[in-house]
Amino acid sequence: MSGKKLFTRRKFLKKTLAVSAGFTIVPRFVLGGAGFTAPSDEITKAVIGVGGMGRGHLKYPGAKLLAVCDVDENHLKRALEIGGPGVEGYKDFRDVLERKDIDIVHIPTPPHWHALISVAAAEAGKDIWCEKPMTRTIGEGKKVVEAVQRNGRIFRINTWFRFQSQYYGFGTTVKPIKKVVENNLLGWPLKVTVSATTGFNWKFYWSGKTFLKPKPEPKVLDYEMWLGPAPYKPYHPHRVHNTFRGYWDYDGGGLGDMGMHYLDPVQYILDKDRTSPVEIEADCPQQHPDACGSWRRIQLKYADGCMIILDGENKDKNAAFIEGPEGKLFPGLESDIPHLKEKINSLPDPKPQVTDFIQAVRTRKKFTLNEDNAHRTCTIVNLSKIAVRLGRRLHFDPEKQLFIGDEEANRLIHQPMRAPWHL
Amino acid sequence: MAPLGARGREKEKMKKYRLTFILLAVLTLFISIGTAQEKSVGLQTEIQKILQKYPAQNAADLDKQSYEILQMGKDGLLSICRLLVPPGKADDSRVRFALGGLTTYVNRTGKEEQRKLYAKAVIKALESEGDKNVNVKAFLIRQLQRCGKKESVRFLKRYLSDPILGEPAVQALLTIGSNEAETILLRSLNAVPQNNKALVIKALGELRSQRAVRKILEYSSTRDRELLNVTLFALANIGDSRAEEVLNKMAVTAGPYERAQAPSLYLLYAQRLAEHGKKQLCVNICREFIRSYMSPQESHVACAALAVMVAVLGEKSLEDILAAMDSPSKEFRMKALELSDRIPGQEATTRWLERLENSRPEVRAEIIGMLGKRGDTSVLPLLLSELKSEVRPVRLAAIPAVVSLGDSTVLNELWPMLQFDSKEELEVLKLALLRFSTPLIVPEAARIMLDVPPLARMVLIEILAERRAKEFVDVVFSQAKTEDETLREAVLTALERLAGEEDLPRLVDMLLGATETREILLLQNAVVASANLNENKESRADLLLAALETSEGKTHLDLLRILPRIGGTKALHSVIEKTRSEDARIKSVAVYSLAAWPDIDALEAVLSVILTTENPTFRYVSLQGYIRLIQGAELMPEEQYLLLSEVFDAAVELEDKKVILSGLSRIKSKQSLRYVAAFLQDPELQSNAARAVTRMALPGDEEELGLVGSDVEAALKQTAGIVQDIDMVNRIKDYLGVLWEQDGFVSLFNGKDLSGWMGNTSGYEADEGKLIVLQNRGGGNLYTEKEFSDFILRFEFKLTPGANNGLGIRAPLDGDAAYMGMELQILDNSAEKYKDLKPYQFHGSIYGVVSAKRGYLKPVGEWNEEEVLARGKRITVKLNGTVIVDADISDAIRNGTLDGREHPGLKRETGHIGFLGHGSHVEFSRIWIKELK
Repeated sequence: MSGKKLFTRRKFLKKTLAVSAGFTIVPRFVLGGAGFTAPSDEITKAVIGVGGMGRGHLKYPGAKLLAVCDVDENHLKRALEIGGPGVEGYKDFRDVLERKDIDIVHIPTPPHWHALISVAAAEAGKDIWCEKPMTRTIGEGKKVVEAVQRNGRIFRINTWFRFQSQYYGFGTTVKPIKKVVENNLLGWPLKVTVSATTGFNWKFYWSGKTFLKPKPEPKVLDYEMWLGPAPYKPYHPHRVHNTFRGYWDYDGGGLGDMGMHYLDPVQYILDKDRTSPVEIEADCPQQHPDACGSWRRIQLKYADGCMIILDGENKDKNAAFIEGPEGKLFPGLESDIPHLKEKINSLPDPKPQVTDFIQAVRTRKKFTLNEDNAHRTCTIVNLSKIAVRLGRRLHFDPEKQLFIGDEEANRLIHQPMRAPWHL
Repeated sequence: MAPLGARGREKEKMKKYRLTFILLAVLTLFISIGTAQEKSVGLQTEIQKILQKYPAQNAADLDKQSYEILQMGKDGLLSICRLLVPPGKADDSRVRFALGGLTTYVNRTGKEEQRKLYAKAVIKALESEGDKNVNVKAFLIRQLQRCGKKESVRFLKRYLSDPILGEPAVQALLTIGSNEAETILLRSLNAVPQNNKALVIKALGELRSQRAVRKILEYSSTRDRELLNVTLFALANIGDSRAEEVLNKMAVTAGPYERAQAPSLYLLYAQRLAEHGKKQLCVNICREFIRSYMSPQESHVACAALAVMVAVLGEKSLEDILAAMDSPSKEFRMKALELSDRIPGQEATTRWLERLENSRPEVRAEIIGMLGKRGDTSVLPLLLSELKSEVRPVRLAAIPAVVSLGDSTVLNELWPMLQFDSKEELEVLKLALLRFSTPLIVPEAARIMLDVPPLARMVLIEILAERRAKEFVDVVFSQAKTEDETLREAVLTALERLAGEEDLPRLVDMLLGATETREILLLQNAVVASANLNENKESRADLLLAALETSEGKTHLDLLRILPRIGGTKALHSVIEKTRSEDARIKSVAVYSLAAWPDIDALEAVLSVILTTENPTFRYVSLQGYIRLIQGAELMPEEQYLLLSEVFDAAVELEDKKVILSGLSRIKSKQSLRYVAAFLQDPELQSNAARAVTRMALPGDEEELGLVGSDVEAALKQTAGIVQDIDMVNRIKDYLGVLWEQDGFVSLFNGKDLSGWMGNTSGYEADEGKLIVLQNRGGGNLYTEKEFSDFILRFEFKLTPGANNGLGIRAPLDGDAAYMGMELQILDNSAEKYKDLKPYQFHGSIYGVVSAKRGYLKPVGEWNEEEVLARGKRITVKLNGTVIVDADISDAIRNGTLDGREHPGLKRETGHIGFLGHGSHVEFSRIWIKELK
């Protein structure tokens, strides 16, 4: 039952045993003689996973769409209609990766597929535009970072608030906040509160259902392939499209959905792109083994004393977004520091960022929201998920990226995939 | 019951015991098989009691509950495990919560004894599950994956050959790890069926089992693609040289997918070789790869090889990294530069500087970029000289590099670069300058402003604006008359951020003199910003009002347009006056300005426009403004309601009415709801009214409560029939349930299982809110456990073509409910086969006794709503809002029953309520009852 369809692809059977030279060590790929084929001027892309989220990716500007891929025929059909002529449809992402004319692969699949497709894309020499959350587990995130970096790929995660747009209910962009913190106007260490008061609403409607009656698998959906590396559980429509976020097997509720959007700027502001919290604690109702539920409060502490509070109940009505020993910063740059807004004006800008992904692909410069810092942000999400599931205080080693003295928590860092899938 | 013959065969023997709920049923089943029966009963009660506490509300409760369960010992744990049922059979989520909680609890420090006890119980449960559903077993195995240790490893072995449980078992073994797990997997490899080989080999590969290499190699020539895939991965990941030949050959012999993977796997193999001490071999492979894979579409392989090599060689890889700069592949060069940070130190820096000297411009730029990040300030003098390079890309790379390495003295080198006229370069320069604090850049920017070319001047103006350098606003003003359009636009844009209160006169002058649309727009913004800096709200607009008096034509209109962005009483009066202008254009702009007024002071004037104007656009715009003003002011809901409902009479066009309804919808009051509900009957407005009703009546996202009361209920019911969106209909109906509950109704059906029902439970199924009569199992009679005498019963039902069911009331459990109780017919009246039925046999009829009115059923396949009122002898049936039966039973049978048969059940005062199935598919939902005392 699991993954039996893996190698039944038509294409595969057509071409087999060919090619003359061996490794010895290594075969040489011959691409039109001894010279190098010039990279075509137009950057090209494929979108893997074209459900609700993926359809949005079809129209992202900057690269020409050549291929779409989905395990649901209806999704595929719709995407092909949107894509228009010249776009090909695939059911198996590996067929997409085999195409040599595709530069960028977008991965807006459910999160349990992100790592597998990212690693395979990196090994196939593709650059990657991956949806948030980056990976479902910390272990998978490490593998993606390794594969992307080893293969010299350009990676971006699909969140952007550290470099553009109004930062949710905070009411300004992130840049002035970064200036305030970077120039030490609030002192150190800092406490950041992410709640409805400070402008961020945790979406608990992504909770899963604890009782589902199995339903027949729809004909248009290859459920086996949809599950892929995830454990087999009987089909129910609530487990898949649009509502999969409610199940630990695929995502992590509202944390999975909004976590990286809300928290990546926090990590950037606190200058924690290269580390992770060391102590995590959650206050929440008990979580179902399968379905994600709500939580009241999650607290993450860094080694230097900086803290991130996720206030799910919006309990602290007076909370500042950032609080330091020398001042507080509220939405709209309101503050107890006199004339803060004027002060911000005279402060130097933060380091410029590489914010154009297509440019990054062309110049091979790391995109500002890349595999490194996205993995760290996603680690905040994944640490929070584990704390919520285990309901006890956890200690984490940001270097080794393992919990200290908690075997069960570590078992959630590395969760085996269903055969034949592996990283 | 079946009204169409075939009667009598349905006499059914009811079971003697009642099920309080389904969990207990499963439990009871177990007890009857189990051994220590009596002791069990006490334990089971205890278990049921504690299960009710799940999910725990916090960690402390979970600890307490888990502790309590563990106190019950192995028997207790085992009993709980045995309460698991296959997915969908019944709601066992409490059991899953309890077990999941235990799994986590026993993993706490110092709980090793409890962990063993629990793991053993889980194992025992698995052992005694027999052929029970694999999904239940998989759930239990996943608990072992989280908390199992040695005791679980040996046990899990037995599942390795299982077609479904093999997978979770292997995952658990892999997670638990240990030598023993490896041994078990290794020993099982030959024995497991073909379909399970892949998962065992994958696991051995992930465990990097050296011991397994020989055995895994046996599968390297398999024709099974899936198996081959994991075999090659396993061999590469283990990294034993015995696998070299196979991995090497793969690149030529296998299919395209394996071939594509071949280099990655071979490099993985090489990396493992190095980890096992064979560094030189690994490095040789990497060098060979770098030579072979440099074409544009393969250079990622060369990158990977370099990365592996740098990881292995460390500082000794410097030569290889430097050599990479000769590569034609940009990707490869950039990778090499990224890897160069692994080799810090002065010596390496020196080598890079040498390399820089000998590189072509593109590569020079790349190396400069790296040096900027490297942080070694000794390269600064050289980079500063690169600022003067002839080649633009080199300069572009050098600018950010010197900023990140140097201090403010580098500014001296940056300012002169403003003489360059490339837009791209100036943009980079601007970002570089902005990295410095205001005192370091602003005065200088102002000072040299006039000495630089226009393009650079623009950059300086943008810097002044970004830093709000108001003290230098004059120099910016001085550029406002420039002929250069782009520069002028930059100036005007900057003025919005730079102009002070005292700059208003010259801005107004500029606005009066401006002719181009874009320019006017930017100046309006600047004027507004400047005027609003005045702390005296009343005098903000003075200057503009004076200008307004003397201006005419387009300028006059432009001034009029910005007044609402400034406000103030005088300005308001001026605008009001202009709304009476004879000049159509002035009048029009004034009406728009008035409608856009920022505060409630304008309300009366806006209302007056609404009431008096004959221009439909003016009316509509003013209505929108009116509503906005009301919503923006801090008014009580009643005041808002009065102001809005008042204006409804003035609405002329449909759109006017719609916008008012939408305005009313934001007022959460019953008054407002009643007003809006009146439009539910208006075909042109009903969908707007429906939207308004839902917005007002339903509870909001946060803690906002919904509206209550019988009028709310009536409006919502009507709305549910209008709204198309099925999710919204469900939200409305769920909320109606809440209202009914407050009114004393209780739900008879929980939507998940048949709790509270008895009889032929196997003929019915609960499925996500629906109670389905199963066609293939005949349906039969399903009764409430409770008896009811006088009541109001509400339910929904959906028929299939020709469907036939019945609603038994005051029925005994034995006998034909149609006679021994009372049956209200449930029937697809429209079916051809029923055309010759007697009137008392159609839908809603009290079977054989009272005929119902016909013609009120929804088309087959749609949901119907029915309400049955039974009070003493009086029975009323309302179908989709229409009374189809309203009868006094005593009167009805005074002259004998319609069907001429005995109906002893009519005399019964109480009994069960039941669905009387006849083998057709019918669905019920939302079943509510209120007992009348």
